[in-house]
Amino acid sequence: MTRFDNLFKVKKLNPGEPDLEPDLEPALPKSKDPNFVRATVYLPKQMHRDLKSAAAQSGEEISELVEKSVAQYLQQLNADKNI
Amino acid sequence: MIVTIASFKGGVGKTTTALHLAAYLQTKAPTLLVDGDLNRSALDWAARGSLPFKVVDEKQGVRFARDYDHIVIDTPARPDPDELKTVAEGCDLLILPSSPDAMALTAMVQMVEALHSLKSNYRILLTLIPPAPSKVGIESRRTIEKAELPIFKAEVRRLAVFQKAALAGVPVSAVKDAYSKAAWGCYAAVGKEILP
Repeated sequence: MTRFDNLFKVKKLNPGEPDLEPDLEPALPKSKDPNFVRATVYLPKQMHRDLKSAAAQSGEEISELVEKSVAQYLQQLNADKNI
Repeated sequence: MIVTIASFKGGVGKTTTALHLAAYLQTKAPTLLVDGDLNRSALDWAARGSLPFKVVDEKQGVRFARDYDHIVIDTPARPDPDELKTVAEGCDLLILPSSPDAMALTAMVQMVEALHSLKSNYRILLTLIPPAPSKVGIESRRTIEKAELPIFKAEVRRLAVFQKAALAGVPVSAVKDAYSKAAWGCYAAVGKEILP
């Protein structure tokens, strides 16, 4: 894979063929993405260990798992408020 | 048509060649100049003034390539082998500019050897030919022809107006100078050999 691969690939496409997948640019890492902030939280040791193992098993990042759980919690919170 | 300019040695007129061939091809059909040199010399040239065609880097090139009939690619000196393979096999014509001196010609021969194992349509262009009474231009041509390597009939003279053009950010044809016509004529002749 060189810097020029996609350039030649694009030129070989026939008229009417869709453009290359837009994932050519690697996604911004969360550490550099202005839409994310880094937070420090304290968890019981065992919970952190369990979380780590869950992340390893599902192939997701701990960040993603936390994001999902917090989203769920916030949704529940809002739903409870509205009742 | 995709034309790539490459050489192992720097300072042999790669960017000047890329830019002026793009200017020539633009007179035929919409042309895109892709500046693949990490020095971004062609982009600098374009930023200083105005060029009659679009100049982008290789990343942006992906977005624009389909909209242009001709693409001219300027590459860095000393391309790594993978990069050379991609550009040499991907383009319709690979131009190897070389000035008529021992060091540049040696680098050019190295490049030709590297191209041997690749499927590539290449042609050598003599650049920076000093004025008479120097005979190095004609001597270099004879040497290359004796080795039966493909070479352009046209050649590019060493003229100060090329530097003026780079400074002004325009093609050489747009510089007010007694030699601007002669300089442009060099590249127009090269262009005619590529696309009459």
